[in-house]
Amino acid sequence: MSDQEAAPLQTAPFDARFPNTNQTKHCWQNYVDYYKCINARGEDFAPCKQFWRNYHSLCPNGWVEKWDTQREAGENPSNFEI
Amino acid sequence: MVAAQAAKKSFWSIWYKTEIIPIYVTVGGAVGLASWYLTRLARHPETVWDRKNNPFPWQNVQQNENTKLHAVNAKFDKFHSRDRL
Repeated sequence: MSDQEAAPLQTAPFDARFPNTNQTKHCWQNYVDYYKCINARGEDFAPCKQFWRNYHSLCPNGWVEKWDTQREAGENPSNFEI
Repeated sequence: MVAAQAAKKSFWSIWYKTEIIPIYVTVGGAVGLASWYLTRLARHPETVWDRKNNPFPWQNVQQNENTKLHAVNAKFDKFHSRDRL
């Protein structure tokens, strides 16, 4: 398994707000921050992508799907506006 | 009733004796430790006291601040202190 150009493997960096093993809130915070960023700056704003990468690393896929369906139905209780 | 009165009388008649100082020390120490830990929990950035004005207290933790008692393998400049409710 030798990759000629291996993509750099990375994950969500350390966040001092969430130093403990339980990263639930870290996951939620990144999800909310990504959509806040998108709503404020538009989908093509590149620095928003860091939040996207973070929540895809941290959150279980089931949660992401559940929140996405809730968000599309307008039922997600989190506030995605700044 | 009589027993309570007798017990009350006998505590106040012996509170000054040196033999019961260990009781004061132990109970005082336990109460002190418990209240220290409770205040630590109350001041933790995860505890929400004011839902209207400060619903996300962990957002006030800067990236160079430590919130743990003993941080292993990590260098922080200072300890986080919670300024507001």
